[in-house]
Amino acid sequence: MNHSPSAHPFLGLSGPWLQTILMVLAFGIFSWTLYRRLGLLRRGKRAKRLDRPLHRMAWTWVYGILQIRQFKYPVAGVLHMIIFFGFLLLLLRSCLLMLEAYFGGVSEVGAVYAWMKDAAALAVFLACLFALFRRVFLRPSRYSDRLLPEHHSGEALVILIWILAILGSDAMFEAAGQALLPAEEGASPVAAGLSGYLEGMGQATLLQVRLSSFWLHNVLVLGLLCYLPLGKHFHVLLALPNVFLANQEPKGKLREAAEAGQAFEDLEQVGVGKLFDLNWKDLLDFLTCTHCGRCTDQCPAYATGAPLSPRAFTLQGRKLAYKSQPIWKQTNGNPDFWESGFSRDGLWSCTTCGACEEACPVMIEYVDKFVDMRRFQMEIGEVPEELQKPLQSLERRGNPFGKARLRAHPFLNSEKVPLVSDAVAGESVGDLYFADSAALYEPRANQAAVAFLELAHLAEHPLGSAWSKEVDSGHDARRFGEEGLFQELRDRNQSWLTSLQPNSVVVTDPHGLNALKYDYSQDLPVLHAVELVELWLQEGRLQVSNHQESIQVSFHDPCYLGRRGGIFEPVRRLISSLPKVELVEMERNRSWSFCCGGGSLNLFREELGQQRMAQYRLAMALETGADLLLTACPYCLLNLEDAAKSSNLQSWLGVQDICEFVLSRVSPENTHEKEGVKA
Amino acid sequence: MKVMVCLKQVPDAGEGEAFLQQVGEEVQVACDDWVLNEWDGFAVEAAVHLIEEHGGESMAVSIGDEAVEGVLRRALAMGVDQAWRLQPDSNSADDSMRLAHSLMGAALTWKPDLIICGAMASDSGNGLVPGILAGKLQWPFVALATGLKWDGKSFLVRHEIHQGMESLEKIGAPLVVSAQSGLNQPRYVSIRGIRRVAKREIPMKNMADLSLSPLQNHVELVDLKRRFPPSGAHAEILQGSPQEQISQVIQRMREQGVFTS
Ligand code: SF4
Ligand code: SF4
Repeated sequence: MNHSPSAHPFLGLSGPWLQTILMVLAFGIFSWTLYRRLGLLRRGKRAKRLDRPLHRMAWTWVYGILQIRQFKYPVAGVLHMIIFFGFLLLLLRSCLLMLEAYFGGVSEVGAVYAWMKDAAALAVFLACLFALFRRVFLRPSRYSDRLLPEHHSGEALVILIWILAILGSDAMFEAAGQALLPAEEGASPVAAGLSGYLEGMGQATLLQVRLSSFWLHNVLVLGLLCYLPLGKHFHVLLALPNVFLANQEPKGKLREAAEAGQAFEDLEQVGVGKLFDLNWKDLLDFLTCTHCGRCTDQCPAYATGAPLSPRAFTLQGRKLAYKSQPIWKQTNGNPDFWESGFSRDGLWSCTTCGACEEACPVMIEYVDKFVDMRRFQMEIGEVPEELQKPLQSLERRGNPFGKARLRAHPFLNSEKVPLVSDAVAGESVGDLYFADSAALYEPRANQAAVAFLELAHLAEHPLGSAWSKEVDSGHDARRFGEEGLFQELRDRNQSWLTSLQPNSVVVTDPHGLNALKYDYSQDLPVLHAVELVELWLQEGRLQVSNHQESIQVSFHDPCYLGRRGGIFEPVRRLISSLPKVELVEMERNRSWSFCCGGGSLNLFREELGQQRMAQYRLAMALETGADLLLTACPYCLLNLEDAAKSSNLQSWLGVQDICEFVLSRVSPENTHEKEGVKA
Repeated sequence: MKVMVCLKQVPDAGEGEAFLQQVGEEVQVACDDWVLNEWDGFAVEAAVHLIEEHGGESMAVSIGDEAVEGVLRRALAMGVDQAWRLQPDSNSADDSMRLAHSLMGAALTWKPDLIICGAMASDSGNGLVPGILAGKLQWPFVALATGLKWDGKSFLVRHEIHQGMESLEKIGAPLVVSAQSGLNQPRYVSIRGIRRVAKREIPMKNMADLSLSPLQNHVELVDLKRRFPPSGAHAEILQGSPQEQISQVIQRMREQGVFTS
């Protein structure tokens, strides 16, 4: 090929030489930056993330390549997909153009590819233009962050323009080629079109246009490569590995405080206080973040004005990491994490709801990091004042309310729920109801629990209880970082659970559900009340009346029932099986639910936003026009009902536990039959 | 610097779970939950903080049987370097003179530069001990401290005086200070922290160990009688709707001359 850059010197250097120099330079810079950046990971603690490789590959296919999470934000999602797949095609083209400097003509691989490439280029071009337009003029709110002083859209703009320039220079290169040798086969349509504008230029000028566009293109591509590890577009390289290495434990499970084989009590240091107390995968998270802001957009703490933005946390962490290992300077020490600008108030504002993690397209993790940081704070005694009392109550009285056991609501002692205090040899105690603190010590939560037990009684499902031995499940003590207290509570509960050996444990509190499933070590089936009630309705053991008023209800998914416990559909099936009850979903339902403010210790924590989360959530429920807001967690019930009361909205929207609601719709015959049986 | 803090164990009155019972002429406390006196928590925090900042050694002391080891361990978990349990001098339950006598023995033996006590005990309402202790030692005493610093030569103590005013004193060592609430926010003690000090040996010191002779010319404190206060006749429960009740409250306040204009 006569007009190939391989055959024409540029800036006094022959094509192969120039290309070689550029490549050596670019790959030199790239490898060094990459080495420094990834070298950060070696400074983190250990973490096992290579188990179950096949599963991980499938996972990466779904979340990394198909990127199914992108579509929860449709506009950005589609744009990203176009740019992503278009880019893959264009990458091939860029490689060919690198080779073109050595072997003239290799970049011309036929009409089909030329068409495809053009289509891809055009799509990417338009997507980039639209993305630019969106960033500059539409400015979706999630791109700004009140907790980040610097605005990150600048970098996005640079990259978008950069990509446009790469596309443009490539097109120019081809167009000039077309103008020089119009008869060529397999030319790309865009180039053919563009070449029309170049007509009339002299051959020498055309050749110069062609050569300079070519080298501009190659410099831009290699420059982009060098630029990637420096900013948010590192994710182009790291997103897939980060997705592959993502946490594969069940969602409600926390990272252990001590590695296997180590006793928590013997640890030299607990939790994360300094940057490199984090593990290497935590650091990789920092490096991978795309700044997309989906996490913060979903975060209830951020939404209500609390000083917490998960994205800001990650970016502050990244900045600190880069500062402590600059690319061109010597490595610095291990800085205190607070130096990043992340605040204590931010740390304690997280309810561990998990919405951020559910939203992140590259599977960045938050809750484990926050809990590890809280563990450290607990250890040095830096605990918000308002949490100290409930923590001490947990320690002394086994519940956060500080009530003595003899103040427990005695409902569980009734004949409906026999107290199983001791196991009889050879006899099973059957299914056991684990009440947890709220149902035992908080009157409103207690009513909801009673409603469930009433349903169990009507459905003739015998349930025992060992409430007199129970202490709090320790779920939130653990999530607030008080691991020692959690372990003590867990051990106390586990000792009677082991000796009683129930068939299964039934809970009304989703936090208890999560604790028993993932924090405790015994292997027992654990069921939430809604699963049983749904079953009883299905089997006809509970009969609901047809002669009731029609009603519209909405359902608030408790974080630890839904997002963490995966129990979404039983609730929907349950509600839809009730005659004359219509479920109207809030926009944020199921895994997109919005935390009510959190349970247990969260009840005592001061929310630092302008508005309480529950109030925010209530407003969402009001929008549905439902008459009644249902939920299935004692703390959601308390928070939401409190919000309704304090904003005087009770007459607009009632709040009920789902068991209370079902009980109110059970047919009188069902109740009478049972009464008859008893009499 | 050496800082000694004096601790008392009191029934946990949180949520009204310490039950008082009238038994004959006695009011007895039925409680199995004993905790560190609230003001003593401020004292421990102040001591630990001073040592963290300026170096030195801190020690917690408490008078009583083995049961008081609980509060001493809490102090150890908060970061106090060592703890002594002082054997009570006969039946001196709440006799401030006797308590101060024992504490004086500990102070003369260990020779601290600073002694911090809680301003008062939450169970007995007694706040005499720090003053008596300072008097017996003939050391200066600053009561109700709300701020405590060391500038390298002297202590800077902010403390409450009358009518909500505060005064700032600059005093050299040795010194006795009583800690008022607001002095600091005691750090949280994790269960792990408590467990880690669970096996620490806490030495017991008796009168001989502290080279103390019995109190001379001591007038014994005699507990004559304890009783619940008789219920007053001046309580009235307002009737009616919330609005009516509010008007009644305003009416009463007006009658009492609360509103001047
Ligand atoms: S877990 Fe919930 S509250 Fe915590 S940062 Fe994530 S979204 Fe925010
Ligand atoms: S953590 Fe994930 S969701 Fe949040 S900004 Fe980064 S990439 Fe986006």
